[in-house]
Amino acid sequence: MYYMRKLKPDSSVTGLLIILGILGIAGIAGALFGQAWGLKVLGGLILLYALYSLNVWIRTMSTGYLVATLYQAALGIFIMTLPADLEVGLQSPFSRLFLVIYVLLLPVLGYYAFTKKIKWRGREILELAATTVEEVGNGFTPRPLPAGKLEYTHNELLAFTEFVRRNLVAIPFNEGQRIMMVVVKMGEEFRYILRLHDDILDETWVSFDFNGEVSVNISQRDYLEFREALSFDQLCDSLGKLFIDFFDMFRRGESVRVIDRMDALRLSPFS
Amino acid sequence: MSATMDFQTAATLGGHLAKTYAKDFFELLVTYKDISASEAASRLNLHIQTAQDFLEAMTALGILKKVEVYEKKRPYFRYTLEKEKIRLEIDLTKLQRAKNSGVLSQRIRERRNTGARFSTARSGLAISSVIIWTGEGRDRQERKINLTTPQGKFLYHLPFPNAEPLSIEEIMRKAGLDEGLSPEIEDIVGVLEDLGVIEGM
Repeated sequence: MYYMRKLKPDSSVTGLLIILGILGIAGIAGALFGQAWGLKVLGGLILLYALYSLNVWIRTMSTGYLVATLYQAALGIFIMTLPADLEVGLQSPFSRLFLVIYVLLLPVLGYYAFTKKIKWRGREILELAATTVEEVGNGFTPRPLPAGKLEYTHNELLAFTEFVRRNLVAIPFNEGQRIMMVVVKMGEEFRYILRLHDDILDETWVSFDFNGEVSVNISQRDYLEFREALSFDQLCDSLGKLFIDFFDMFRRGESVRVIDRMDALRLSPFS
Repeated sequence: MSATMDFQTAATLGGHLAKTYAKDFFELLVTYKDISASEAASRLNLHIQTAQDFLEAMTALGILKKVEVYEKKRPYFRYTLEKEKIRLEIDLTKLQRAKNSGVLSQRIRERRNTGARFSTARSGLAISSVIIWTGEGRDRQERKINLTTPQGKFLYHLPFPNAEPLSIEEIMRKAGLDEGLSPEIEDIVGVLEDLGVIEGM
């Protein structure tokens, strides 16, 4: 099935900036203090990034991020423990061990990346929400929309939350009376993981309260990501229905269909 | 005085009763058969105009009656207590804005690009306040309206700017609000209409 793209092309360079930043800082350290120090700084920064990935894994329990953590940690330790003389370094069993771990994890991580298991699904969610919205006409309001009332048990909601979390469909925040599922696009996850985000009430979310009420909010930032000024009312309604559909599929034991629906959009694994 | 009075009359009476000399004045009036403004002023050590104003106000309210008398062809008034008891009773229900059956069927929705900021209540299913910017340039001011719980629930269900407008009655039903709450809902709708946040169809 072919889907007409309604979002503007992804122009986020956050991931690239991080890589360039790490290489730049390590390069400066190497130029100022010598190659050995440059490698140590590079390894240290990669280890720091591994800590960040570990944090994501703890928050999401996504296996892909556990692999990423191990991969980055192995690479970081390997580079940090390299002596200035690279040839001698590669003879060291310690360095060789981490090099082997790194090389073994590389295809595993590649598999997780290309099968979108470490992809935040925000763009898919917004694209799917917009598929049924045809009417064009601005009407943005920073107000949530009541999207309907469902019947589900407390445990069903918690299980669905776990599914959403593990599959990076959204980041759930338990607010006591309700669970807010914040839709996150690739490159924006840092704000939520490092808690640099604004009040989540201003973000794009779908909330399910323990009495069955479903509400939807779309942030102005995300609304402006669409090529056209889609009918805001219909867009919010569609986003609510999408999550309600996902919840229904999950309850019927068809959670794989949720992933299939998002994969069917064929978006880049890195957007 | 009559059993109930309108708010304005009660406010006038209350204002005069609150004067520091009011009790002394009524002591005089209840003690004397009749009294003139100058006699009362000299007795209470007040300016004659103050005494005159008080006596005239009480006469206008029907508490005193005045009779014009002449002294060497110069007329003046003598005041007599007409009522020995003052009952200040206001029927507050009369202050409620007149219910207009047409208002509830009025179809409304949020106006486009108002710039109003709605704060969601922590419960998640209501709006707690609306912030509106009024005026231009240096006169631009922020106005925050804190909402009651029913008003917050009502605004939570208010149709979006490009959605089909709904009647107030329908929105109240969606929000699960009792019809008895309609006066306060009509009130906030009126305020937000005046501020340009809501548009009626």
